[in-house]
Amino acid sequence: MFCEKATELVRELCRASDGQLPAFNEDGIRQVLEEMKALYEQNQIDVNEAKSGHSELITTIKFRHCSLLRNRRCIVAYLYDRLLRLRALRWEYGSVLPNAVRFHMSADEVLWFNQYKKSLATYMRSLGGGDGLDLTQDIKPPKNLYIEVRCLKDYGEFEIDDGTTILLKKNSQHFLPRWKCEQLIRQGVLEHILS
Amino acid sequence: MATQCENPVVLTPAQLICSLEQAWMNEKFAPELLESKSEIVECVMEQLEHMEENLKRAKQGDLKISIHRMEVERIRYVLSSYLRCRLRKIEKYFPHILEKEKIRAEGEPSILSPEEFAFAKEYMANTENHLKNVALKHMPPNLQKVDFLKAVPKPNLDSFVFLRVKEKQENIMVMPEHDEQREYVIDLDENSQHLIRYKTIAPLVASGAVQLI
Amino acid sequence: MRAAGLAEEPAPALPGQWKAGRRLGTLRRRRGCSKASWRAGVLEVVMAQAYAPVEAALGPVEHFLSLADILTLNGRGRNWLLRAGPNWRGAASCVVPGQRQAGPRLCPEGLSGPTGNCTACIEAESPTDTGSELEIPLWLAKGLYDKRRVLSVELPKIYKESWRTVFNADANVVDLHKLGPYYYGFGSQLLNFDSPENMELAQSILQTFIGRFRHIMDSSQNTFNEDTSALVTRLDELERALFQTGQKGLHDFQCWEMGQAAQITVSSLIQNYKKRKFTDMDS
Repeated sequence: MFCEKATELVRELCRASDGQLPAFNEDGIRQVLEEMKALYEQNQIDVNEAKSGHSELITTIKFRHCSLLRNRRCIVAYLYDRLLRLRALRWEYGSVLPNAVRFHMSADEVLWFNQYKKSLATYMRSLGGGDGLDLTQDIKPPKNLYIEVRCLKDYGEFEIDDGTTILLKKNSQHFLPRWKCEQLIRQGVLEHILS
Repeated sequence: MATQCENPVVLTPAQLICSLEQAWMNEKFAPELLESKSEIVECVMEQLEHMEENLKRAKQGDLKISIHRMEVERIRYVLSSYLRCRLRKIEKYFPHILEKEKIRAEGEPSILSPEEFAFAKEYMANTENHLKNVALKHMPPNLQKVDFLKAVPKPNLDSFVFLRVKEKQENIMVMPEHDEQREYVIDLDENSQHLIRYKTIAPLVASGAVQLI
Repeated sequence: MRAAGLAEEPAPALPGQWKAGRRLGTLRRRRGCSKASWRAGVLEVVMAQAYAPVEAALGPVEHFLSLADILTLNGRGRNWLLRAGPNWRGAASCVVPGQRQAGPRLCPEGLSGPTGNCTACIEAESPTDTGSELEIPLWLAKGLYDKRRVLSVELPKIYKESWRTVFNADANVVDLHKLGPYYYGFGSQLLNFDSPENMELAQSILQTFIGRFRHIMDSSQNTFNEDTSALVTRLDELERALFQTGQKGLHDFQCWEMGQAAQITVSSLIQNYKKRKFTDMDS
């Protein structure tokens, strides 16, 4: 059936509704593009015939055209939604993505992602006079300067504000400056303990 | 201090933070992107830098340090949250925001700061390029263009917002909500609170006569 | 604009303005807008869901990029009838690309039911009869529908009068997910076809929503940490989204009451990735 493949692409994303990035379906895209090519060529022929008097072809032509539009819409929506997911990943993981995620990106998506990173960095650097302002930090309103954290995995050495380093070992507990650990907590390395 | 205003308004730091907070809440609750408050942002950034410097100079172990440091953190949170919210709207509504910027009359204030404008343009170009390279250029010739203005949804100006009135308003026209209703006018008394369609009071948010809450 | 009196003193004017609210995770002023800034803080947490898909449109319009709208428009063959009108006559040749056949034959694989079988396939000799009924997806019907009246539309049964009576009697007893799952979205889209029943259809959809809203709102605001699946399975997609928004609000409010609003938590996106990695390893 026409547009089945295209709809399947959309369904694929809907199934991962929490924003995870499924593997880029290059094959699916290619098949839809092929279907579009065939529909278009067939329509070209029929359009010429319709012009020479076969007006009964008009509905068929229209039917194919609807399918073409539908296919295009599905592909564009598929790609666009994936960009929204990539954007989310930049905000959640920071600028370096884990391999598991990167394997699911197409080459063009890597390009888009890098450009997005660059635009965002330029923007954040432009804020204020000095180093700019990192907007991916301070996601929640602060309550304390220092917070109690438990380490959920062996992370290694970690530099805190004043230049001293500490060793983040699994199950160790620390009292650290909040703004230093925010990223690590969101990434699941540390856990924020409420006293 | 860098200032773009022709008539510099002198604000105490407390007033400055208050105006940041108001801009922040308005931005959070308004469905559309509001006018950029770059001067507030700049002043607050400078304020933060001053405070940081003062903190560095302060004597170690002074109890006041942690209070001031907390203050810095809080202000930075509000500022980040405000800018983040704007960035998010820019990404969500970029074609409409850029279009508004394009048809903006000379002398009318921009809703984007120059940096936000640069970001929005890059975001649009990047996204357009991506769609073109991956799919659109491989499509039949009559289907290679997608109009972002039609494709990307507009902000929903019909959504409802809570507000508190700062300056009394009279004769605000309210559009009917269903067929059996006709349009009617209301007065907004100072300090009264309302739940109302954003579109109805959008100009009052812009002028500062009401505060979204 | 100018901030005065900054350089001399270590910013004394600022701290006095603020007070660390006892259990408030967010900035709380002595007077004025404390509740609102709490809401702003909560909103931030909601917005912190970094992935926000393009929302579905409401009413008879669509959002081009919304995945939900695309699936709504896919309709369901079994619910959906297209009655070919007078102009359909002789209109179609086989439209399978690459295998064009002569003669008036409508055997489009494109016009098939949800299983991919050609359920509505009309055989070679009689494809063009006026009044042929075809099951086609809504997006196609919408595309083909125009002033020439190539097709007229028969309402799917759940939007017809007999079902409307059921909905009007008690909308709460109906399993909208089974019947939908995009009952409202699909129904609103049907308004595009100038059916004589449009008025009743629109009224019925609206009344159904009004009739069910109260129950959905109540349960989403009052069930905390309970199993809600029995209720949720019977909800249409729009209602589910509504229910979840309510639950999220309740959850955030409870967190705030327990003083957990300021707790930095692991990103749900990252957490889900981790979970998946484990299940991948298990399998």
